Amino acid sequence: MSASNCQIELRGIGLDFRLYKNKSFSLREWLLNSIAFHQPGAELFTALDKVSLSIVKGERVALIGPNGAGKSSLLKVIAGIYPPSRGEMTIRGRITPLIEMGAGFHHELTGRENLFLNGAILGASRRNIIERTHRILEFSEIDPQFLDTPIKYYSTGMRTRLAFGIAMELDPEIVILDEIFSNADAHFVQKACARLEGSASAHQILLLVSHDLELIRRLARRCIWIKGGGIAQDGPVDSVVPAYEAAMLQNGSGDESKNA
Amino acid sequence: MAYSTLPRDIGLLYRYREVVINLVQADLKLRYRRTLLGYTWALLYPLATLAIMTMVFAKAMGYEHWQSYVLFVFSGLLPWNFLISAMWGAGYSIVFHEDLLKKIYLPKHLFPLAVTMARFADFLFNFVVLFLIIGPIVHYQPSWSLLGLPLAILILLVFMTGVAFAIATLNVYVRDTTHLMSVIMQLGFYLTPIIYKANSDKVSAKFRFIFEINPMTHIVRPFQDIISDGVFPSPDRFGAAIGVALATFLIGYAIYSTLQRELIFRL
Repeated sequence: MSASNCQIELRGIGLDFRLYKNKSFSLREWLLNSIAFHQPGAELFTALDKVSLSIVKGERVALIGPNGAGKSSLLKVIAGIYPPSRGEMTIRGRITPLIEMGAGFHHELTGRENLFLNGAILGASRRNIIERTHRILEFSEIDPQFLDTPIKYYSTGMRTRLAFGIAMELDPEIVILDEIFSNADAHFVQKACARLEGSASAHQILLLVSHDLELIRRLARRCIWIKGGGIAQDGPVDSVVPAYEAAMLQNGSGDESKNA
Repeated sequence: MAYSTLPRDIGLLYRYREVVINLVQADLKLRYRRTLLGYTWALLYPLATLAIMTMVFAKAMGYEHWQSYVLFVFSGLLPWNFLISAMWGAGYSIVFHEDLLKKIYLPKHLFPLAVTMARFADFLFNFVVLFLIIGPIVHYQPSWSLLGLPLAILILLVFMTGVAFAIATLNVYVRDTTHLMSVIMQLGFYLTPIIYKANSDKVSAKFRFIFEINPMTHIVRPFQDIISDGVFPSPDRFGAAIGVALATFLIGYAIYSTLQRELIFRL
């Protein structure tokens, strides 16, 4: 697949959540609600409002902002997980979302079976996976003898490394990372960052959410500050990150920028 | 319209076919992994049911030869068991993959379809193996009517696919769906002519209309015609079965396509 046209374009994107007290209400509750003329939990919460942005190939973009600002919601809209409530978007390129490491893993299946399943989810054919199994294992530093062990016996770190390895070896076009290194050791974080710096070449888009401002300075060139479901600032890391830090300290919630 | 998304959903199914294949394989592998008897379990259950039904009902239903009763029950029981197991699987198929669906985009219909296909593979295997076991015991005489079997099976699959779409979707909204379904199927087993014949003199004529309005009757009948009676189903029989299956598929798909966009917010 040609990766030369990677592009993310959002025009006036809005996302509303309905707040359900109990998302899957049962028949009994529904009947009670209907009798009482209640709409079952129809309260609206606007997570994103009028978000417009354009990211072109070769860009490495970080999203920052306090908890609940809408960073993850925005990533999920871009990844196609949440259909936006308003606005239009154009996404060109295959998206590899690493929103939680190993989300596509089936714990009862072996490492090898998970390679195929996870690979298929990310759009790779079986043959493609077989050809790359060796490289994936090498990058993930997983001993091939564990390949036929159910993944539930893997350590959390092993799972994180394997998921990252699969994603990186399958020629991702648009990489979306959401706070993924929490389970990995320092050595692997270094390795993963080196890989991301090297591979996020002119063809790819890297989009990440992190509270780790050092990581952002290292991996991203452009930074978008999300605040209250909208874009507060959008510009080079060197100008947006200091402004964000200053604002956080002023608000007395400076711990936001220091954790991780 | 609810059906305008059908071409897109078929396209998505093709694009994500490897995911479906992997899900089906995982399902089939995990079902009997770590069991001593493995696949034998899938055969023991219908064999035991057949044996008990025959012991208890063959005489009561007025059968002179228990062998022909076994064949009759077999022909209705296997499609029925497929429906039950696929319904359970499909009901929880989307809910079960909640974690995955919140972290990566995947078309939701892959999941009920994968479960249906896995249970369908079970069904085909069971059908052949049990037929080979039971056939000689009951002195089964193969007949040309068997040529109608592929169509009967296809109808069953289309019917089940519609049901799977509907209950997988509705169960996300109302978790009562699977409970309701199991009650319906429990009662439905006795309201469908599987362990007795619809025209049996044991059934009061004034209740026979129930069989006609019961969709399951029409799905199961071609199997009974072909295997138990050894006749090719009449155009009426096949026509009714095809009608029921298509209507069920269209209704099930309409429910899915109407609600699919909002499903992720309800998980």
